Amino acid sequence: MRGPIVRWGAAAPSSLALFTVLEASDPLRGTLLLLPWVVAGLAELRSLPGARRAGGALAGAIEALSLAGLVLLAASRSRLALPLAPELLAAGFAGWVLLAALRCGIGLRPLLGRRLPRRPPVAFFLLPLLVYLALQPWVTSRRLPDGDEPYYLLVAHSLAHDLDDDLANNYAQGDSLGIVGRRLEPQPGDPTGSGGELYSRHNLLLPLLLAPAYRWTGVAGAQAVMALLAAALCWTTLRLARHYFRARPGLVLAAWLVLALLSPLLLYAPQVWVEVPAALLSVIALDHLLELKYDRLWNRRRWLGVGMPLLLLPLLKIRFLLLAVPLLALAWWHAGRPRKPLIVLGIALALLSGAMLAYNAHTYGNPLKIHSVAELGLLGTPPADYLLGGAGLLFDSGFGLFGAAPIWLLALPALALLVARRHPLLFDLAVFSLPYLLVVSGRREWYGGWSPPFRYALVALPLLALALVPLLEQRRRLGARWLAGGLGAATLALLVVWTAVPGWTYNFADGRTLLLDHLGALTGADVARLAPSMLRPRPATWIVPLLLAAAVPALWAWPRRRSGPVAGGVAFALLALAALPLLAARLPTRAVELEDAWVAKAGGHPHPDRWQFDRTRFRGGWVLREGERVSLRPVAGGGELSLAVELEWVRNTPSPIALELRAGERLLATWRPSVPRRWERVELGPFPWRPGEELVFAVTGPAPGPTNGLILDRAELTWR
Amino acid sequence: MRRLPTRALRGRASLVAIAASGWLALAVLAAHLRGEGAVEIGYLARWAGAVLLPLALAVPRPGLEIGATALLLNLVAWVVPPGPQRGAAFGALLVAGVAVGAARLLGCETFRSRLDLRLVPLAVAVQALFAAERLLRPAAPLLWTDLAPAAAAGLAVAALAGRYGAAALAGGALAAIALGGLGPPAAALLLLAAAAGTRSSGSPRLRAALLVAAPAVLLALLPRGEVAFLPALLPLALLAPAALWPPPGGARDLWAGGWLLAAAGAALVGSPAALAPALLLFALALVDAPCRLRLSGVWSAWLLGAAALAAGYPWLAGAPVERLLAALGSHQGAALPFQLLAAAAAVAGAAALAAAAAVWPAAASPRRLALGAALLAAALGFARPETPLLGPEPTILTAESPLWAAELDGPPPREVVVEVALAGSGGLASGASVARLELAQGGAVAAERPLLAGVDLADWAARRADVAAQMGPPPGTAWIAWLPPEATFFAQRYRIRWRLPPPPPASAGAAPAALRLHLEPGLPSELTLAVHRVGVRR
Repeated sequence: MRGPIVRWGAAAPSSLALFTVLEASDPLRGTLLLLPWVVAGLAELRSLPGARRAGGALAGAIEALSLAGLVLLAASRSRLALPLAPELLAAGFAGWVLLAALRCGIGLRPLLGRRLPRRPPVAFFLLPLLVYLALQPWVTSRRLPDGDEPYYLLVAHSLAHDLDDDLANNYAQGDSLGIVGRRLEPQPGDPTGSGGELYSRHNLLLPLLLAPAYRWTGVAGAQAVMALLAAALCWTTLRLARHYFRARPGLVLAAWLVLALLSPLLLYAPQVWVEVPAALLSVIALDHLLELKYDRLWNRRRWLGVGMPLLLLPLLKIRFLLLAVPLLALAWWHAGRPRKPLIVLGIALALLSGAMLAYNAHTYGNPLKIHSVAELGLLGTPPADYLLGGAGLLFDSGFGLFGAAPIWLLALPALALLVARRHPLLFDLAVFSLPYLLVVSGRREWYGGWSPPFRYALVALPLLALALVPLLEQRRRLGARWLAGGLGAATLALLVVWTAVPGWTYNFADGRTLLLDHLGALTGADVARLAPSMLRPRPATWIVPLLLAAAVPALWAWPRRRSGPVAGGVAFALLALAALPLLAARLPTRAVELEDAWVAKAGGHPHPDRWQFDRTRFRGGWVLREGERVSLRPVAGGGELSLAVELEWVRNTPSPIALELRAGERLLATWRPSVPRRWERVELGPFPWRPGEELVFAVTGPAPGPTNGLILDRAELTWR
Repeated sequence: MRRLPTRALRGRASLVAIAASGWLALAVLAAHLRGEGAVEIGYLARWAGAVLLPLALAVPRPGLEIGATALLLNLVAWVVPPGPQRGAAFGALLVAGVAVGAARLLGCETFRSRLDLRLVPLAVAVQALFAAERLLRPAAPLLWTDLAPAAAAGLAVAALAGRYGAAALAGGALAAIALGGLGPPAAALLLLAAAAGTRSSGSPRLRAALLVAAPAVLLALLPRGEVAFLPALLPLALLAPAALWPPPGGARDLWAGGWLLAAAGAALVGSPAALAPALLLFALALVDAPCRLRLSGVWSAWLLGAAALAAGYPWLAGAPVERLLAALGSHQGAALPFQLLAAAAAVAGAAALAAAAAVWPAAASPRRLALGAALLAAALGFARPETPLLGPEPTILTAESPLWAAELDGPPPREVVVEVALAGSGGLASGASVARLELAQGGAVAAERPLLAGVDLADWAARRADVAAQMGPPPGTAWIAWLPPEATFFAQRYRIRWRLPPPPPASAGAAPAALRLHLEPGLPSELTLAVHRVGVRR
């Protein structure tokens, strides 16, 4: 009893003391206020009966000392007066929380016993919750609700305060100022009512869930509810694992830690997205329907456990019908193909769907709210789009799973192993997720829109995590250890960046990422072309996925017998990092997207605007007007250069303009447009070229100020 | 024929490969960066390689700290913009990596039973932390100023540890703190002590006498300071508070010898460096007092880490021990009663902890001690934050625009802190008043402080060879350094603390109106003053 008293007794006054000394404007205030509670919580979990201290006393001492060092630096930061001190300290605290939680999680292994329990200890709910809440103050203060989030919160506000879902008064009163600090406007196409009501395109279920907490504590309370849902998802996934790997609790725990404490789930935990509750409902349904395999008994608990998630999924978002129907099919399959549950639940689902469509038609004038049936036209979408979208969910550098968290590359050999063993998990994963992912991958917005990576496929993440379990049986091989070490280290490093700069998880759909842009601007080289992008296909789009799909399973499987240090994988990660600028500086430049960050600009602006809604419908380019220029240093692939530039002439006045192509100060060619408002492909060259020269695109004209312009999209370079 | 320890070699090779990969990644980045960041990354890559490569030879397997440090250093290099914040992050990560590696190595306690040669590369890694300034333009003399002395010091500590155990390590740490690293003076001290202290022949008393006499040689080689006797002794209490009262057992000879050396050092030399021999002996004297040794070891580890941070980039403190003592309340400018109070508090705290540990042994566990020390310091730091009055961009004062001012609100400040640097100050005489800080109230100047060239502040290029030759080394207020594009010297700015006099009783309740900083009139027209920071503490 003395232990908890000491732990929580120390946390309370520490937090209170920090509350009194830290200023309200201190960016680290929330993190530091919560820190004593997080430390006490982790200590409480480690002191549970049966739990052990992973790494021994020395690891505990290092953990304590590193925390002490961080706290000391946080206390001294005003005296050190270093720029970006809050961000650096936030990264330090995030790294500490993650490593401490990983160590704590490993130490909870004895609580799972020799066979996974039917009801895992609550510690496996509290541990991820602790981590999500610890990171929430910093992450949510640096990146205010964005994308669909503020609209969900605005609906929650309306439900909590006005007890209705009409947002007209909320928009007019500027209620969103308390949510995102700016006035929101209705999203394009938001449904309206016959009496002038303004509604949200989003369903009410999630805002209803958030409304009580929002009423009580505002946005932070709503975000805490989302963290609770994410933690509940982790706990139910562990519960689900008993159906597949009951006798492998240690390996399940390892896979569970990857799911619970690493991205992408950790990125979504403090944010308001329907995908997390959808995943939770799906896992609950799966867990209950898999119990039917043993006894085929449809008692009240089973009806509720399977039926409620099935009915709640479409209420969360109508597209989740594509998850509910496969779940119903799985329930029918695992229950021995009975007719009654299939009919009852099928009718219930159909009635619910019909009721939703009728309600939408009555209230908003459109059964699908803002969508149309044509959007569901699967056959009208080219197969290549499905391939790009589907591959993009995994491999795209900005929106794919592997780009955000490289550790999930282990899913490639894991899935191959499931196929080889014909594991039942593979069947459930395929039936549950493939119909939904098929429809999603064919959409133009397969990447999720303005969101963190892997948004639409997040619902499949719990099953993907469980797919890692059989693979981890082979973890002692040298290649496996190197892969795990290297990919794990890279994932943790990226996670620290995503936490310290949460805005970097929101990439524009332009074939790059904010991180790659940063690297390109640092080096003056086109680093982004080395990363695959399914939004802007390039050689890396197919080379990198094929390479990874072959190399990762091969390295995992070889060599078979030798073991070795995990840290060896870090050397590979570091060498891969070193290879980026090397390759970018040596591979000949064959295509240049002129709006990219590595291209130096003296004037001009992007076209269309970076914040243009559904920007992928447009050709992204850079506008140059009279007197403006862009320049770059291409990597030469020969002594002679030919160019093909795709551009459009924007003519506002009769004044003529010309595009000058230069190598440094040496004029190579001059081109004058003749047809305005039409995309053209202009072939220039060949020109002699010296390595290291600067390629300049400049627009000139007699007008005294900018009047007309050229939109330059891309330039293809041919070397001889 | 003896078989090669292939497993051990493979394990060591993998750690070295990781360290080399980290260094290579930084070097490749530096070679491909454009702009001012390239210069800084090239330097940081050298520094990181100098620390991580020997560390990889020292730490026991699996050596995760090598990989973690290398990866995080690269992360910082790629993501954090150039400037003092990047250098500070690098320094903190390197110190943390060495600290974790050292903790794991010393936790093995193999140095008790044999000559653990891994202490040699560990010493080299520690010295690399202190050699940050010299690594800007690495040259052959580094072998004699840093590499060889550090290796010799490590060997000496390894030899001493075979007889004195962890006490030797604590002594080595204290010597490094006092002497600013494991350079030639520290190596000489430790080698002499090792030669005397590890003699297998002779009585313990003779050994103790030799241990006192040998290090005394160092006192003759140290440059003379200007500190009076008592103030020169007081740092003992802050650096080794748990070692100052007589230890149990047969080590009292060493303890007495330590006081003898301390008195000699304070009288003859008068600088904190002169306390190094005494600190070494005090530490060795704790060999039979495990609880006090643990206290002393943890405290010296913290101080060594702080000293390494202070000596590293971007702080580049020439005498990190003086900066440590200033942080602990015993800087040279402080009043003697205040220094006595700080010393007494340190010794009293150590004694109380030692007494508490006798009743509750867990209180003296290294983790609790280290945590307690850090949290105490953190509490002090949180309680007295510094409020900035200037934005992120510096203000440049010139002859045409010589004044900066800010209104003050809230309770009256007790201290003002400014970070400034001169440019074009070549013709100024040392001690000339360059600028003036003023606290104005009700239109009148309530308090003022001149800023003197060469005493309070100096040129931003003070470390450049030609400027240093003309104007001498930068004053002790040197604070943050950075790398200009030339990359042949460190640019410098200076931090001045102005403790404000208490307001007169008549003005009680009336807050000061404004703080002003202005250039003195009549200065050369090319002279400018860059004001990087103005902060107040209440």
